[in-house]
Amino acid sequence: MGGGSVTDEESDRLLVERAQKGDLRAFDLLVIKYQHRVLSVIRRFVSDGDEAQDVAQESFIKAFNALEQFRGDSAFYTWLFRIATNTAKNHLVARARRTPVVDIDIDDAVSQDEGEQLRDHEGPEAVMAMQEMEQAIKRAVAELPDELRTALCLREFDGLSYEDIAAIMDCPIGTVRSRIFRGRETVDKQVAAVMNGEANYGQ
Amino acid sequence: MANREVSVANKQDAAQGSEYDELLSRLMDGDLDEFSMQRLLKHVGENEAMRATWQRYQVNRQLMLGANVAPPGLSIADRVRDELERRGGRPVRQSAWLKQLRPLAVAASVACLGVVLGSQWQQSVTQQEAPSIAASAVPTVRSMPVMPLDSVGLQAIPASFEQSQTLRAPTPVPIEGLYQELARQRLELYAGRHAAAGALHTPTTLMTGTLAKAEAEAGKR
Repeated sequence: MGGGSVTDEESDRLLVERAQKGDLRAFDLLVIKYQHRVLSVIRRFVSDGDEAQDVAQESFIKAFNALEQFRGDSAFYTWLFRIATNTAKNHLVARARRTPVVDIDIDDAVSQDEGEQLRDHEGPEAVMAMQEMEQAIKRAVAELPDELRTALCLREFDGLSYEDIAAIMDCPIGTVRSRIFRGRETVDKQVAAVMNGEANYGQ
Repeated sequence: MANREVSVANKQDAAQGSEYDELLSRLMDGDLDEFSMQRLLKHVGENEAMRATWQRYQVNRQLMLGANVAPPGLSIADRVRDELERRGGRPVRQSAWLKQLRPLAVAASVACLGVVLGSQWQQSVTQQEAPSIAASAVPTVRSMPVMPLDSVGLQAIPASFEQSQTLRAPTPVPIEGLYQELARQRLELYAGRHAAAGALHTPTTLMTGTLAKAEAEAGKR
């Protein structure tokens, strides 16, 4: 999948604007959102897990320090991934290690399948957990009531605005907001139940 | 009674939590106004569970869209947050006005270097030419130059902050004697002509040999 979507960009814009005004909580939400994807990019350069986490932390700190310079000419995640890539390369140079034979382009890094990288670097337990979650998500979405599933899918897969979804489903925007949220909430509970070993949650 | 109150309080908390979870959901879609954003961020800052919910919503979205991401965990976010709070939540960067001054400082340094090197070069040239100035014959009145420097092929000597320049006065050439000699000659000429003219216009009765004498003197000149 691509690194971001119109939905992501609008959400990021709101958070970046707040973070640029010095709101740490907004930047915290951006870090939470992107920490795994940034770590995934960094692990293509730095194989050691602890080192990769240190580099990821350094990347986010650099991003925060440079946040004032971000003008929104590119998507936030592209800008962030560029910082992460450069930080990882600098880390290798500082350690006088051999740089990667194949230089990774930022666009490739963003668009490349993150799952493959995860399978390359994470242990078998993490891979299994991820696969379980993937199955749980699919099942949870499939089991949603029609109106919730339709609203959520139009939003997530088709990237439609609330207004467009309201027009398609012939209901007020407030109802769309509510349906999308309830859909996400239900899926989240289903996934949490599976991950906590409560397979019969909700039944 | 007490159990009933606790139950009501829990329901209120749950409703409130659900309300903020909905704000998180709307934030994922970029559908938050400024007021709601402030409310949400304030609540996130006070409620650790909200961060975990936000994390799960993001992971669920990625999985739903087919990306394979690591199971939820907040280790990096926690470390980043702690580090930023330790720094006081301020970005470490150069101030904007300092950045703007940097090119000006470079330009000023280059200009200063140019002035210093230029003045030193001029001084070396001037010291080489100084003796020729003193040696040249410059007409003076009371020891001051009376001709433009350029007309005698001289150059102005630049001022310097570091070394004082002393312009040695050229040796004065006495021209006053020449003027006096010329005046004396002219005076004698006028006196002779005056005497001749006076003799020519004097009445004959008064001449008594004077005219003849004057004509004789004029004839000598």
